[in-house]
Amino acid sequence: MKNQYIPYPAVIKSIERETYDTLMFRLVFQDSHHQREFQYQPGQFIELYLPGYGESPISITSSPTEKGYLELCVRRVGWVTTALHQLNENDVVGIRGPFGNGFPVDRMTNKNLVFVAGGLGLAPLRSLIKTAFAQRQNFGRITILYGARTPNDLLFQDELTEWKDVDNSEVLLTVDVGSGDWRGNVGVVTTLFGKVTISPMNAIAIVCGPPIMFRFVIRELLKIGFPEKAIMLTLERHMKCGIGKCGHCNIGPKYVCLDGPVFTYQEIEELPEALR
Amino acid sequence: MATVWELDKAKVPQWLEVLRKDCELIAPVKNYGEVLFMSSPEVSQVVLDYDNTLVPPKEFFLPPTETMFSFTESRAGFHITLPEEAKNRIIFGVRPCDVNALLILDKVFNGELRDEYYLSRREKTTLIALNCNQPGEKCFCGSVGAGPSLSGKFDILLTDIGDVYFIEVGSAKGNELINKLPALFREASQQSEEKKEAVVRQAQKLFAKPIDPLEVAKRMEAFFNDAKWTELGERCMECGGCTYVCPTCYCFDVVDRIENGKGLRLRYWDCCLLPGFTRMAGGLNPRGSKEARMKQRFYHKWDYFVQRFGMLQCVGCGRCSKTALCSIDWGGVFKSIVGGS
Repeated sequence: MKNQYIPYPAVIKSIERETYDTLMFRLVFQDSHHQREFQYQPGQFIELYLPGYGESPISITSSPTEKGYLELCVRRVGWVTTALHQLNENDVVGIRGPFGNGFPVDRMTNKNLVFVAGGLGLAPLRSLIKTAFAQRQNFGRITILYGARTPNDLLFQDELTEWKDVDNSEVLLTVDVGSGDWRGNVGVVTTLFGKVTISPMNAIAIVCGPPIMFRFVIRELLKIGFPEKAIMLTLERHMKCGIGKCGHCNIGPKYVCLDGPVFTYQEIEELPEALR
Repeated sequence: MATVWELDKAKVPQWLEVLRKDCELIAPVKNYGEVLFMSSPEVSQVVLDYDNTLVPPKEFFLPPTETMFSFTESRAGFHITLPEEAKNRIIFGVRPCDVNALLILDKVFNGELRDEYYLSRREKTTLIALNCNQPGEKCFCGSVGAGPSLSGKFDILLTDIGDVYFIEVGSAKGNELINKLPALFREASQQSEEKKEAVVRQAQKLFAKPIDPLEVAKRMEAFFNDAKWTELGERCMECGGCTYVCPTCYCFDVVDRIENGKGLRLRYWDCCLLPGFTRMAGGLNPRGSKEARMKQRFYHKWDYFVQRFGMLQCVGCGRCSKTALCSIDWGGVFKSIVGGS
């Protein structure tokens, strides 16, 4: 019987600096058989293990359309992620998963996709965004609204530029506080709603960011006319086990690690603390 | 082959001697005035006249701290060693509420994604249950349908009918324990069987009547915004006592520790009433108030669990009320919201 708590060793193949506090790690499992078996959906997460430090739930940042490796975009925040940031290429970490439900990609086919992300919230969405661009003909218009604290906090800047140039796609950026050569929008991410035409017709909104952003973005989307079930959110919780046992990610009758982390707004609007 | 037997109370020590021969026997003993389950006690220490043990037998399935694996590190990465497999055990004298509590934990740890640590201990353990004839001061098992007597769901069930125990066998594992020394037992007489029925009926009169779990959940939902939770939350002293003595609380944390150059991955009991339970890296805490945490524990047990598994996550043992520093009477809260006597 498979022991769900045993991490599989994976080698850090490359480390790219995204911002001053955020790195992108590319990982390949030591066991090539496990690497081939490891199938995931955009929106799923893994438990990243550093022996002697512990585990941290991290969303998968790469797209399943990219084969042979896994990418994790990790900000240096807590005990485990700070230790991770000290590691070098060829060091070994542990991975359990993938866990959670992921985005219902099949139900998004031929829809217009509206991504709204705040800060590190773009990391879990990147998996779905890359999947959508890899199969561009399967989706309608793709709109990405992305806000960060400062220009130095913006992730994936090269990719954002690339995505902007793809037909029938648009990318709008904003920062809370501008700096020196920033010529773009200044203000919270909801200020971008006035700068672009977003129709709720045949569209799905996909939102990820801090709780306060969720509340304001949802209000904006509802105002435009998005039905509650067409608003998808991916939630963060202190998930210790990933398999619905440890109790840490429980919200009402739901477990974020099993039933989420992707939810429609309809599923969670009534639940206590879901958007806190 | 009969499945109902009688055992003279005077012969219980002899049976226990036989049981402890080939495997670990866990039984209630009196220590510092409290009755507690103890591993491999002297047979003379074992007591059978108690309301219930201070702590439930949960610790033998989900230990307060357990090693999930040990690890060593090298240049090539890390190497994991699993702990020894669980061994056969017998737990003697488990009350019906605590047997039902294990059935609740089974729901959590079983499923598509299995918890092998808990489940292997469960599979290797034989339960000798003991029906209750008298309610303890804080017991409300009747209201939640978890006592005072069991029907099915046991390996062996004892009922005190005077000078003898009426014994029912409910599984092959249970049958083995009778077969270890069949001469001790005699087939139950019609008279004993009738006596047992009468004892169970009499006990049921002393305990409240069960309320349907879905009805409990429904009544809880109506109370969600009640001011009661603010008051109860303010009284919480964040001691964690109620969850540690609870036979159905299972939340855990997992940490790494290095001991003598060897790495250990340890799982230990956690508690949803502690402020750090839901805190994330960076400090964000979705359940930041004592009121919200107090509500979480009550609703998880009497509403959310019902929605998820169709059963209550509470067996009415009343240990939380006896233990917690806040003196919150959980049975009293249950009665005031849900009803029952």
